[in-house]
Amino acid sequence: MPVFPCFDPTTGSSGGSTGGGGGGASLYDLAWTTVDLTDGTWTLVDPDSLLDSVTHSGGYNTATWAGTATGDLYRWDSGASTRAPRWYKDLLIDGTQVTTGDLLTMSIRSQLDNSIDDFDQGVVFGASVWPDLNVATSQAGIGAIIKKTQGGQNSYGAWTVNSSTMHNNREYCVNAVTRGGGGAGSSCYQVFDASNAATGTGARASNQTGGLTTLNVRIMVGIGLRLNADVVNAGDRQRFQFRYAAYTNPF
Amino acid sequence: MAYAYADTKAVQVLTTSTTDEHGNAIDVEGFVIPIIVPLSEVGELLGAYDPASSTSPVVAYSRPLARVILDALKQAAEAP
Repeated sequence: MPVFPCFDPTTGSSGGSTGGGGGGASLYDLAWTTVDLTDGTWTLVDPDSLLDSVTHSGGYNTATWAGTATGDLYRWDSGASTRAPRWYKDLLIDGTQVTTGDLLTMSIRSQLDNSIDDFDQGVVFGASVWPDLNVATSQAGIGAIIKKTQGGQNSYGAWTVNSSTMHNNREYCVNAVTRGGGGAGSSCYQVFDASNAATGTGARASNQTGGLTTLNVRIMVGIGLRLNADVVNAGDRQRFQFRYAAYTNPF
Repeated sequence: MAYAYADTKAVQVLTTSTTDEHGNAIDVEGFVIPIIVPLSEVGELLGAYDPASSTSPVVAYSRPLARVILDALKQAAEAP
């Protein structure tokens, strides 16, 4: 993902540096990067071999489950540990690895395709430290969450570590995630209807600070259940879209 | 000074998945009412509270605390 300089450091004018470094791109209407789990850049972690396949079309990823799962071990916003399938990769900005010490801001646009309605589902996307581990406080994930009851409408909101805050019955959601200085940070969001009218706001803090500042920050996608009593079976699918943009600032 | 205040500008109806005051996992849709307990009141409140006693806290504490929550809930629930 490229970094776009916003202001000329000498003159303060927008568009980035014009003195020797060339003009920068505008941050107005900055394009999203769409998460494509099939593009070969993502690492799958699936402790219980529950993923059958994943495909990507029309900007959406479709994950198909290979087995049955139930309980909080297969959710992302409950319980001390999670064994649900997840994908991750290092978060690089303009070729530079973002670390837990960097002051990171990430925007996320999330949307669920509710025409795929096989079970009561949940899916998350965000920044994480150890997405390959199963302990939630080690994963230290923070970002966006989508949940849906079979036959119901989509819910969107903020995901922090192993908890969530959501609005029900919305079309899509945009989160702003901040983290850095070793902390897991916080996630705030605004939900929208189909005509792009704002229909609610929310936020959630991780309350997780004092961590190491030299670890790589990763981005991750996790699939799973909506509630502990829900059940997913082999062949059940989830179809979701996540788009994001990330940048760092100096302290 | 009151024992607690409700942040009425931040009251919302949300679905929350988290852990409650007893350590139990909860998934519930309802009014989220932020409660602010001044640091200066914490010592007195906790000193007068015995979690093992079914009659604690006494009404001198429980009623003002309950009214903070109920006043904020009433205001939010009856808002046009």
